[in-house]
Amino acid sequence: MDAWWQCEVPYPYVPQEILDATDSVRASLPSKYCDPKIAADLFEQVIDEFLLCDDLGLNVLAIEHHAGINSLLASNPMLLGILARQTRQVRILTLGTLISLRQDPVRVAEEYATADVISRGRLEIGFVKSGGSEMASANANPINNVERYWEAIDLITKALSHHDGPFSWEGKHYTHRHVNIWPRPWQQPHPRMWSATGDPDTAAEVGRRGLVHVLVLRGPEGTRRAYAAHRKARAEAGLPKVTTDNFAYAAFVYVGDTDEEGLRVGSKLLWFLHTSLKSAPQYSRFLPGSIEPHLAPQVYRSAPRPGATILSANQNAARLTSISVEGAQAQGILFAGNPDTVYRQIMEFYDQVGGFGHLTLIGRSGYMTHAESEKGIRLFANEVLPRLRAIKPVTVD
Amino acid sequence: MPDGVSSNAVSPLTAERLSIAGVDLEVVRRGAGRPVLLLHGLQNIQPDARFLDLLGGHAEIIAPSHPGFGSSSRPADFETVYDLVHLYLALLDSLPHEKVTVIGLSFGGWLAAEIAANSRRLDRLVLVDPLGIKVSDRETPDILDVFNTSPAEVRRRMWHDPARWAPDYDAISDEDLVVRARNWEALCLYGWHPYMYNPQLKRWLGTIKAPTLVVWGASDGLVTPAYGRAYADLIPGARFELIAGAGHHPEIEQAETFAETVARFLAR
Repeated sequence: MDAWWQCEVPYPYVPQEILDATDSVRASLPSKYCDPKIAADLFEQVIDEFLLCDDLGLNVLAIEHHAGINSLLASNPMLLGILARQTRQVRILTLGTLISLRQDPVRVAEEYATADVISRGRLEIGFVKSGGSEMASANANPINNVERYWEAIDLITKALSHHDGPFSWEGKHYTHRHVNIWPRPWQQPHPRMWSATGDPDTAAEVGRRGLVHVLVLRGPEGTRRAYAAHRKARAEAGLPKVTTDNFAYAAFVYVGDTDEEGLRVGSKLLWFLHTSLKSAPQYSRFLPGSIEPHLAPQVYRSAPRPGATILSANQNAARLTSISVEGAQAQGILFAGNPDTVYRQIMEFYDQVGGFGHLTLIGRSGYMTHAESEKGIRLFANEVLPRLRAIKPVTVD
Repeated sequence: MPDGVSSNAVSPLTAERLSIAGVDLEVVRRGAGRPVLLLHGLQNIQPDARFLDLLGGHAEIIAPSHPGFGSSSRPADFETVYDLVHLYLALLDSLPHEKVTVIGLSFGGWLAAEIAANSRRLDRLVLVDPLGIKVSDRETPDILDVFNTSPAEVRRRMWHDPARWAPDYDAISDEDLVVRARNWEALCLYGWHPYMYNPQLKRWLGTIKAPTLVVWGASDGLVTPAYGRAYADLIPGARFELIAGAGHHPEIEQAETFAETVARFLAR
C-alpha cells in the first residue's frame, strides 16, 4: 500500500460569531475575513510540511477548492508547480484541478504536462467532479457537470498523449481546433490517472476506464459499494480484473506517541466537518441537478420523511457536519492514535471494504499547529508507512 | 387538423400531449376563441390556475410545458433557448390558424420575445415580467440570480404577498416536488449562462411588428418595473401596464386584474 499526505490549507481564523451568523462559509463569505498575512504563514507552513513528507518518503497530494474557509487552494496548478520543483523524490498527486469548472481543458493539460516535466515524471493526475458551492464560485452550470467532467478528461488525455502535431476537438462542451501542447509530459503515454467519486454511475465509468478510484470520507458501506460498482462495471464490459492498486481511500489521519495524543490532536481534524462544510441551501440541497428529481420529496422538505435511505452527497455532508470523534472513528473517517492503533484502524477498514492500495491522509486541518502536523507526519512516515508498504496489491473479486 | 394537434375532448384539468419536431410535450388547454400560445415561466402552468379559466373566457389557450418541465420530455441534446425558440416556431407552424397571439410569462416572456422577432404569424404579443435582455451596466445585474441567492430572499422578492402565494415545500405533494425539481433543473440548463438573457436579443426587439403589451407586477423584485419599462421601450409601439399588489407573477397574485388587462388589449 502507498500513502499520500495532504493539507487543504483551511483558514479557520474567522471569528466564531461571523461563522455563526453566516448561512455559508463557502462561496459567499466576504474575503475581508481572510488576512493575507495569516494566509502567507499558512502556505509557508504547509509547503514546509509537504517538503518534510518528501524528506521522509511520504507521497504528497494537492487538492483544489474555491472561495471558502475550508481551503485556500483555489489554484491547484500553483501548488503543483511548487511541489514539482521543491520536492525531489516522492510522487505528487493532483486531486485536482476542478476540470468541469475550467473553460479550457487544453490549458489544464499544459499545466499538468509542465508539472510532470519539472518533477521529472513524478506527477499523477487525479480528477474530481466538483459540485455544491463551487458551481457558484466558478459560474459553472451544475447541469451537465458530469458530462463536462468526462469530456474534459478525454480531451486532457488526448492532449497529453498525442504528439504528432495539431489535432482538432469539436466536442459537445469543448471546442479547440488546434491542440498541440508543449512540453509533452515526461511519462508516456501520460501520467497515471485517478478519479474521486462515490456515486455508483460515475464509479462504474471510473472502473471501465481503469482509473485509480478514490473515495473521500465515505465510510465502509459507501466505499465498499463504490468499489463494487467499479469492479462490476469492468466485469460486465469484459475487462480484466484489477488489483487493490486501483482503489484508494481518503481519511483524516493523525499519529501521536500515545493513543491519548493521537486522538486529542487528531480530533482537531474534525473542524473540517464541523465548521467548514456549512453551505447555504442554494449551494447544497436546492442546487439544480444535485439530486435526481424523484428524490426531491426527501431533500426539499425541511425534514426528510421517514424511510429515506439513499444518501446524496449533500445529505452525506449534513451527516458529517455533526459527527462525533467516536462516530468518525467508527465510520473509518478518522484514524487516530498511537502508531499501532492507527495501523490497526486502517487495516480494519481495509478488510471492511475489500482492500485498497492507496491511503490518502488528510493530515492537517482546522487549528492543528505546524508543530503538531510535523510530528504526526514523522510518526506516520516512520512507524506506520513501512507496515503499509508491506501490503502488496492483490486481485479482488 | 395538423399532426399532433388534437381536439379538446379531454377533461379541462387534464393535460394533453402534443408532439412537435419529435418532442413530446404536455399541453394544458382552456377556453375557446382566438388562439393563444401561452409560454410559462420558472414553473410549468398549473391546470387549476385561476387565470387560465379567466383568460379562457376570451381565447383558446394552448399552454405547453417546455421540454424538461412538468411531464414534457427533453431529448438528450435539447439544451438551449435556441432549441426552445425553434420548437415553438415549429409549433406555431403546426397550428391551423393564420395568426396566433403569444403570451409569455417571465422566462417564457424571453422565449415569446425571441419568437416575435422571428415570426410574422403573431397578431399580438403579451410579455408578462419577461426575462431575456441585459439593460443595466456590467456590474448591475438586472435579473435576480435565483440559483445563487438564498431561497428565502428569492421568495421575498418573487411575491408581493409571499405568505399567501409562495409554495410551502413542507405542504405540497411529493408529485409536485418532483415536478419542481425537474423544472428547476431544466431552467438551470437553459438559463444559467449568460444568466437568463440573450446578449443579442436587444438589437432585434426593434423588428417586432406585432402589437405588444408589456405587463409588470409593481412589486416584482426578480426583475423590476424599471427593467420592464426599458424592455417595452425597445419594442416599437409597445404599451406598458403595471399591476399593483403583484410581484413576479401578476397572473397568480392578481388573476382578475391580469386577465382583464390582457383581454382589454386583445380586444383592441
